[in-house]
Amino acid sequence: MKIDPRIKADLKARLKQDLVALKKQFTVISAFKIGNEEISEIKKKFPALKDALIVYEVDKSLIAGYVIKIGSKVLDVSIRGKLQNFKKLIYGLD
Amino acid sequence: MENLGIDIKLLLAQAINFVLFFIIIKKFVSKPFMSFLQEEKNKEKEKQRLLESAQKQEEAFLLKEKTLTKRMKEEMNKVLQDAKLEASKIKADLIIEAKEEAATIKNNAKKEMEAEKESLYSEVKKKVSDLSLFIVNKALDEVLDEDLKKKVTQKILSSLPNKVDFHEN
Repeated sequence: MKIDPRIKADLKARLKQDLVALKKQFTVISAFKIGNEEISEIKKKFPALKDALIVYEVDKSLIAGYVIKIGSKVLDVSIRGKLQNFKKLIYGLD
Repeated sequence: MENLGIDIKLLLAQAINFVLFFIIIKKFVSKPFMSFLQEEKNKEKEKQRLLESAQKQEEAFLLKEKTLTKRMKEEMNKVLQDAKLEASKIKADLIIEAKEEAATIKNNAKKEMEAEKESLYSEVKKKVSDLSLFIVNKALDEVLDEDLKKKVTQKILSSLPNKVDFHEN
């Protein structure tokens, strides 16, 4: 089946746009549902989030703290993350 | 003479008889008999000679047999000695080989044991850490209510440095 080159180009452009948007989209995961107060505190601490598109998610396994993702990068300041690091530290001990 | 009872004619006849008897005996009896005796004597001598020869041969054989037996014994002893020497050499080699093998097995077993120990230790460490973290997780989950979680989150946020780097996932 031959696709119209114009449609193909449009699709490519749209996908590229989505990808760029995704790269610019922040995901903030918290252990509880955060309110405006918390959001403003986060934005204060991370100025990059001020004008960015942010998606908020809840994951109770974090216990407390946040996990902030942008593209393939992650910032884990949750209790779960700290416990994981602690676990790696114990494994590394002899 | 006739008064003595001796008859000359009889005497003469007896003498002639005797002479005739002697001649006949000598000619027809004595000679063959003597030759027979001589033959027998010669036969006896021959027998003796043969016996002596046989005895000499027997002695020679006995001597040869003795010599051969002696040589055989000597050779047997030599072969036995060599075999004993060879056997003791083989025994020594086998002992050395067995000792080396035993040492190798011991070393390998030691290494295996060490490796097993290490692996067990790692496993125990992993289990202990997993269990500890699980307990901590559960405890925190139960202890921290919504408010406490918010407070802790705030504390974490405030304790962060000003410049925080995102790392690749």
